[in-house]
Amino acid sequence: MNKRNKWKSGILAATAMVVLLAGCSSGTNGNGNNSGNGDGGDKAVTLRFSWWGGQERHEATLAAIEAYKAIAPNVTIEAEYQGFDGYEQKVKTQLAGGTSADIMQLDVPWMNELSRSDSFLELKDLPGLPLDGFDSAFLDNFGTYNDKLVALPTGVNAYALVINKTAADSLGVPTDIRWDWERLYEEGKKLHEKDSSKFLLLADHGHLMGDFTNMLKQRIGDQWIKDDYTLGFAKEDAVAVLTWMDKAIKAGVYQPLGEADLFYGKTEQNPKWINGDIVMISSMSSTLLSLRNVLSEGTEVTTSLPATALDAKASSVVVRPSQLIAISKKSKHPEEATAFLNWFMNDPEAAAILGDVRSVPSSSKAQQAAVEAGKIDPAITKAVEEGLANAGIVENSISTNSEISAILQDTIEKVAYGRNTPEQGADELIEGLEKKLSELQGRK
Amino acid sequence: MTDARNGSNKTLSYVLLVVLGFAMVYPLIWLVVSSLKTNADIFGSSSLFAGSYVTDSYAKGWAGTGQYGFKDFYLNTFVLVVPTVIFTIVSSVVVAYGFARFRFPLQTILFSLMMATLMLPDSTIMIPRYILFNKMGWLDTYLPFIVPAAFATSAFFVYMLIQFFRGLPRELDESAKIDGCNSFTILIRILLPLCKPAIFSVGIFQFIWTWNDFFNSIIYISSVKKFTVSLGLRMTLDASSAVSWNQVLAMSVVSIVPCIILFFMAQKYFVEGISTTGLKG
Repeated sequence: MNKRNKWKSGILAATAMVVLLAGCSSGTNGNGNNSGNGDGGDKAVTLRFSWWGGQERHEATLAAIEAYKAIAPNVTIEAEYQGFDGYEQKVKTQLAGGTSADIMQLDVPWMNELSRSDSFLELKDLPGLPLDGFDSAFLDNFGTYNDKLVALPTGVNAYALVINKTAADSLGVPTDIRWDWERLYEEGKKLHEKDSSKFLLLADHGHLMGDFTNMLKQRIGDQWIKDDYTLGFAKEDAVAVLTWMDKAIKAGVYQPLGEADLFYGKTEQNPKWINGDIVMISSMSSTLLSLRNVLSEGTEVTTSLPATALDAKASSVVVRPSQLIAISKKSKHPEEATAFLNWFMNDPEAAAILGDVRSVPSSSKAQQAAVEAGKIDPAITKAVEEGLANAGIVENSISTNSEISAILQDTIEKVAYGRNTPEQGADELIEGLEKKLSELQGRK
Repeated sequence: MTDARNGSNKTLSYVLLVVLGFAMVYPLIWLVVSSLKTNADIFGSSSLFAGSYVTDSYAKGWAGTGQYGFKDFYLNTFVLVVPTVIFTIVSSVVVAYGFARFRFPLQTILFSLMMATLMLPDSTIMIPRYILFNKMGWLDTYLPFIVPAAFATSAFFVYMLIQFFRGLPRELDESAKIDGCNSFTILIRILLPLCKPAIFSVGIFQFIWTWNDFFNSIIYISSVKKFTVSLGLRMTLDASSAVSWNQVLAMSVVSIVPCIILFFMAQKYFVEGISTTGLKG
């Protein structure tokens, strides 16, 4: 009796559960649709397009998608947009699971890893996608992986000095000169001596590392770590660069690293920058909008070419795509996706709608149209034009390796905090790099 | 004399409590006040109040960016969270009751298995789970959240309820059986009313965790139409664009309201639940 009751109630509970489940799953399934419902043919086609961005990029891209309806009425573009947080993980998971959007916005640093699995459509020589508007070296350097062109750059992004012109003028810092390292040192020292709460440059450890490698590359005129996993510099080069840095940090050219590093990865939230106590930041031109946005209204922001030694053997200005766009190899409608991509990248109408929401367009046709439509911020244009005209060595992948960066960071921080002299720092750096490089080579 | 000492003691403890309480609540106060400030004021000064305030941040934030606004995100979140919480409670209670009151074959092994899933880091099963739900065609729906909840997959809650059931005297079950209850009615009529505190704890925890969950939502939900509040909040955050922080903060304020309301409504049981299950928040 007891046992039977137990069974009965068990079955009852189980049935109840199943019924509940069935009810809920059919309910939610009703409005859940997977993209592949247009089954071939040239009738109704649904394409998914995913990107990350901020408010302006979302609005402009949605407006462009809306305008595309007039051009290809049979194509519906489903927009999947979000902020930057989590986008990388999401795309990687989607690519692993074969559920990525047909057209997706990607970032350059992810590409080596992502292109290993051959998940993108080869974009070269497609009839519907002329590439003559793009700089071919740019495509080779950033869109081509494993000898296949798999992604197109949406816009050009250049390394520049972002200068708070209003603050610079009131503090007597010149803004119309070409900066070299000695000039930075002198102006910074002068500024800090006059008022110890002011600094010329904002630099967290990431910026310091950038300045270090730039200065080094200008001295040696080559990659600082060569493709064959050997060092491109000698000890005296590293000592010279670190000595300048040590001198600059002690003279108050840079905001102390301890303060600046509190805002690592969110430079624009640094109160000294917001209040105009720091005059400039070396940064990619794409961050200019967010850096300017936090300043009080009416503040003028301009850019300048990053500091370059007078006797530099090579330019170290990094010019890279702001983002890339690729088409999934698994897309059921590659032709429609290509047609949309072509319109999105090359068409004057699209360019006029999109403006500079993905930085200055990299296709010359689109760039011209966007400039004519007055949609491009002059400060950003200036940075990109100067950057392109002085584009320097394209970083090879080994010198941006995360384990290499960790060693460099350690060296820079020890010197910046005064724990190591420049000589000790250079010794440690070379020793650490050589050990790590041989280890990495062994792993290959 | 003793009175005077008591009085000063009391004053001291009140002062201490007020100071500590203020320190605890300060981030929330900052959040609310900052939702009315401009970007320059939010990051530029450390003082709580600003020179000038904006009033449109709530309306603009609520309208959202592009096609969908926070009204949609709110509704979506409820559609996701409410079934998840209900299923979690029902399934966890049933499973916990089984482990706490019955002997059955393989009980020890099953119990260890369940405890093992409690120790398993979430990230290790991320990809397999994603592939599984993909094969079932559940991506971009709320099923990956709701269905697992119906099968008592939150070992933490099951374990918590087992502990609670074990604390209830078996004599109650026996007397109920004498009065003619079967095992199911014992659960419904005798044990459930007694474990209300524990059930409320489960409900509140699951509600808050699901409500705030960002990572799972972003992995499983791709269309903006189905975004939850936690996804909507981060929708416009990007390093290279101008972020209207006051709108983001304003919507953060709005998004914590349901959790706060729920907590205060169920506070009586929740606190009891924490003290009786030996659980520390």
